Amino acid sequence: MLVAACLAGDRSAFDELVDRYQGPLFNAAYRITGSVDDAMDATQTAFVKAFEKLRTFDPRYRFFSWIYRIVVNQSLNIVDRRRDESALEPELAAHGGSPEIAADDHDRARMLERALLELSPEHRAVVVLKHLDGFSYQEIGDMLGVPEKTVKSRLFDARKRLRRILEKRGVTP
Amino acid sequence: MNRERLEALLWERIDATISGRDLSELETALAAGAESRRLEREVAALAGRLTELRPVAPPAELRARIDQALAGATAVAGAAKSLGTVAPRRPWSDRAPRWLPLAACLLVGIAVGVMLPMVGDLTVPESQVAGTMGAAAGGTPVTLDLGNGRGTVAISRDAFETRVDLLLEGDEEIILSVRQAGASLAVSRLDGTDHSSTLAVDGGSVSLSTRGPGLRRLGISDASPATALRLEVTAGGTVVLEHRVEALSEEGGS
Repeated sequence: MLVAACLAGDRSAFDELVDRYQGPLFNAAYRITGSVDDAMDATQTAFVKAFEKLRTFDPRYRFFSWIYRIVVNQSLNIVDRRRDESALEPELAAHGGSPEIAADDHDRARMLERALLELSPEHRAVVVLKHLDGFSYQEIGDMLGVPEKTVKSRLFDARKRLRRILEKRGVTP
Repeated sequence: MNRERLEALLWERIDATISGRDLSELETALAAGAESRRLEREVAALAGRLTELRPVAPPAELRARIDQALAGATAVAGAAKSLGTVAPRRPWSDRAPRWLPLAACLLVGIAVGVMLPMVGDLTVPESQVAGTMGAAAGGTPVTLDLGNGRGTVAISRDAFETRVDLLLEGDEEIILSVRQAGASLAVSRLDGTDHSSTLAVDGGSVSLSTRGPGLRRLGISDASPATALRLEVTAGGTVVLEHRVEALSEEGGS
């Protein structure tokens, strides 16, 4: 309905889509890029792209899935471009540390966030899509443009690696 | 059952994608050994912890940034016939109050009076042009020799956007074109234009037709960073500038 209204020239309809989805999209981008600035860039670009290409959107699908795919790919592009740089935000990167620090920290969520950032972007993306957003293997495959089998195997590798990272940090899962 | 297989089945059970046969195999393995049950606890704990990740509140400025970016996109949609998603607007002259042209003239006069000493020879200040024209222009804006007055054009490019700043002094109509072969370019921003400007976006080509003094800022997204762009400026039917905007290096710089 909102997409149809927007295509009919009702700009406020798109504003409502922004209101509704900016939070989830920003979160996905943030978990994948590990940076507030990059996540804002990815979210902003996703909305602009969606707006400009709205006519190509197939209404048989959910708008959220479509724009979510845009933001995930945008986030992965950003991470790819900055792979060689130290792009982690201080608020996330600074929370690493030794097992002693981990034991004292008691902030398990923080430790998990940091462990996530140690995964490769491809592994991080599947974990985020599966565990934070609850997408199915098939939906994740559609979003990332890879077969379901690849999603399953990436997810398995990512979880195994995540468990090892946490063990290494002295955090028993 | 080896550990790898056991872990795979444990995750399949958590994801609810495990088959009945595999589930029986898993339960047998779990019943058989303490080591298997320890792995089961670890996997379950990680799965539980992954669900505890807290959502992060987007910064307040995000909405403003999106709105600003969409405002540029709206201007583009309004100007480009191919998009056709925005309802046609009445001409500016129909919508504006009668006193507005006079007020606008006064404001422009004041602005010119204030800005002229800062503008100097009409070169875009470095501070306004991130990255600048790249290798071909040695980092400085290029001056356009137009029949009626002068202008400058400066280009910056990063992995996300190619930005063209066009500063005009005279009244001549200028056509600025940016092309990238095989691309599907999109305009991410367009500032400083009025109702007399027109913008056309067609696949790998973006063309802005504009006239009158002032600074126009055109942002182009979706250009492939690994491929060069071609910029062309035409005035009075004559090409006054042809420029190749080089592809970005792998590091994302120009």
